[in-house]
Amino acid sequence: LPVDLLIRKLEERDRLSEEEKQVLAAALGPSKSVSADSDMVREGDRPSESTLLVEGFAARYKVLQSGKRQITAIHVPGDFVDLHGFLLKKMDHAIAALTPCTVATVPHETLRRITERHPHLARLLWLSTLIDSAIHREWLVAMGRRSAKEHMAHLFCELYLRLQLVGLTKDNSYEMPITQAELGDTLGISTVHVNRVVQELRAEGLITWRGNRLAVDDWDRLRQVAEFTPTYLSLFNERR
Amino acid sequence: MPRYFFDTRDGDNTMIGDEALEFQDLEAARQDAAGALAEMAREVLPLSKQRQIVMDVRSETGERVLSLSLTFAVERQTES
Repeated sequence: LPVDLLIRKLEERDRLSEEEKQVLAAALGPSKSVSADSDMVREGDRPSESTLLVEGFAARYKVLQSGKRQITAIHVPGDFVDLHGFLLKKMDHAIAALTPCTVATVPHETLRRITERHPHLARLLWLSTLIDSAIHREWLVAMGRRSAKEHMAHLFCELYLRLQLVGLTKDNSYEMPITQAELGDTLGISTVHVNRVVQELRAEGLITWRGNRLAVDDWDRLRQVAEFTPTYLSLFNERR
Repeated sequence: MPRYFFDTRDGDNTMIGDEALEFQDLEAARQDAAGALAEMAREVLPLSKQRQIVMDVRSETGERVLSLSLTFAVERQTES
């Protein structure tokens, strides 16, 4: 069930009561599919619901007049792609499906009721937007100051932990269904440089990326290259 | 769409591209390769005194179709 992904993610960080789980289950509408490369939310939209990603990969992005695109967030199953839209009202960026996706939505009216009647649940939803911004901070640091190799290694470490959280890693690997051009738009570098760095990480025995599957062959060294510290993902269970 | 391989020579360090990348045309490949050269330079030049980075673009059949290079040198003025 879609709600199980959300509950699983939240329960990694805090305990949920049965009532809270039921409230979340009742809040989610039916699942629908979004085809690859189409927008699930457009810039300038005023959505009346927030979208939970159930299957597939999605990206928040902006496009400049020159046609250059920057992906500012990658979303994996269990993530709300636009929980912030509930309070920001007008979207300042778009969200695209990078692969075929399944989504389920929660009406903003329902979110409002949750904030009024279930303050602890409201704090957990607040927490999830705070984790989104913690991820943005890490990405900003990487974008500005890390080398392409460190940046890519950092992203691969982060995705491993985020996917593991929702049970989407297998052995040391996970689905990485995005193209090298999309990865370039994420890291802010050219496709050719992405390709070189992937080849370098592979040659050093840190990763293997074959088809859509990325295997972390040496977690410790990948983590060292990235100087990866997962504090920002707030992966501990504590009363919030 | 055509696919190209990209090889890099940075001093003694050569990396032969082992995966062909798809581009709209050769001009799009040239632009991306130039971007990659600039990105590599940004990372390595602060620690370099002299450097030449060359990038060769090969067609899918392996034939070299473009060569881009970047030369960096520092000249210190000595006072007499």
